[in-house]
Amino acid sequence: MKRQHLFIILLLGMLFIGSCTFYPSNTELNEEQLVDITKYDVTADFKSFNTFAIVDSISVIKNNDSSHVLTPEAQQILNRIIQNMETRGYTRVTKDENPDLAINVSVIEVTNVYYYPGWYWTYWGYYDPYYWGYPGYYYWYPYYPPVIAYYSTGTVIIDLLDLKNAPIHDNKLYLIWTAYIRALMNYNHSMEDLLENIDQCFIQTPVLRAN
Amino acid sequence: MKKIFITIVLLGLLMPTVYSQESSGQGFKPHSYYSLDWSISIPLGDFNEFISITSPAGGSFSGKYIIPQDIVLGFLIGWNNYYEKFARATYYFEDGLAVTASHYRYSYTIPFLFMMGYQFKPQNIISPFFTLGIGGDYMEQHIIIQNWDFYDDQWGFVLTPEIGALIKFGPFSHWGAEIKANYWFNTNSFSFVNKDYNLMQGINFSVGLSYLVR
Repeated sequence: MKRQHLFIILLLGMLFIGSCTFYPSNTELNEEQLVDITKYDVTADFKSFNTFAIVDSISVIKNNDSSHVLTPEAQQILNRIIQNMETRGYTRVTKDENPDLAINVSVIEVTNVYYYPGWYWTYWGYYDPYYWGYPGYYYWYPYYPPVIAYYSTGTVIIDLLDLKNAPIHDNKLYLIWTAYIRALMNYNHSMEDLLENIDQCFIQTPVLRAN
Repeated sequence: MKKIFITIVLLGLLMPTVYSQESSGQGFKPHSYYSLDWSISIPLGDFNEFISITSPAGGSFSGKYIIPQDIVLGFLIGWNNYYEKFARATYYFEDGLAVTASHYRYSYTIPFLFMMGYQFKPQNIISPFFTLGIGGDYMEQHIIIQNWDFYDDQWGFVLTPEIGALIKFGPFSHWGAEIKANYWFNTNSFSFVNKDYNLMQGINFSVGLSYLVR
């Protein structure tokens, strides 16, 4: 082989080595799928609220279909949210007892589709403001929400609504805190994983407490 | 690593089996030589705070022209890939946003330099050199969380002092090996998670193959 050819081969070899990138293994990717994102309204005074109500089932939105679900797993999710709220000094009441806060819980099961925050509000399975005693009102983000480009299978969304100040917010139910727990519903993650991630969403929002 | 090992073996196999009849260490003085090097890079300073792991994935292609008085003028184009995985942790951003996840950090650099320096006794089998490289670079940083890729890129100014040696495979061989070390810093800067990273720095160690021109 001519030396010039060998030099060219080595040149290509160096280029190949230099361009090597390191991609994570499938095991690492599985672990990476546990992402907890929370955002809250920095102008909200969370200590001014005392009571909360929570939906009695979870809205499951799957591609173009939706439903309300109250399986044992769904009840575990709701119970864990209730436990976290009560730990932080809030008192649970029914939705007819004029709660300060309301909690919607949804599970999104779509894959590889671009969605912007709040798109799921229009699905019939999602509890609209009428459910919370505010017919004609609509949901509103008082802050710029994190943009979720893809909803992978099994994203859990927890919305915390300000009902106490709805009348002064011009017919808007402010979402003062939102939690996204992403990609937990595939076969590689357990219910315990999900519940721990619900806890984490509360842990990373230290302002969310009544006292 | 396997590919790196094979490349090093190939470099070793290029050692010449025919030598000049001259028994001294002197041979021809090359007019110029071109080198293809494999580099490992150790990030320093702010860059080390962004990615602390030494990068084995890099290289450079350079040319050195030896003009009268053994002054060297040349060029260098390089590249390096850096990578580090960060364990699951919580990151707080402005406006009430918090994210808990593991993530990957990548960085790519492509410096392109004008080199000037001195070559000691270029006619010898072993000829040390030192150079100063001045030029620019292109740099990218990527932070990957699931399928989100937060990235930034910049162009900057680069300064690179370098020392090394050209080792001929024979007094009159057109081939040789180059070993060198350099320190580099650039003026690139970026921000992530409320932290600013300025003045990237690093140390590179390189070994490679050189082709000498009479």
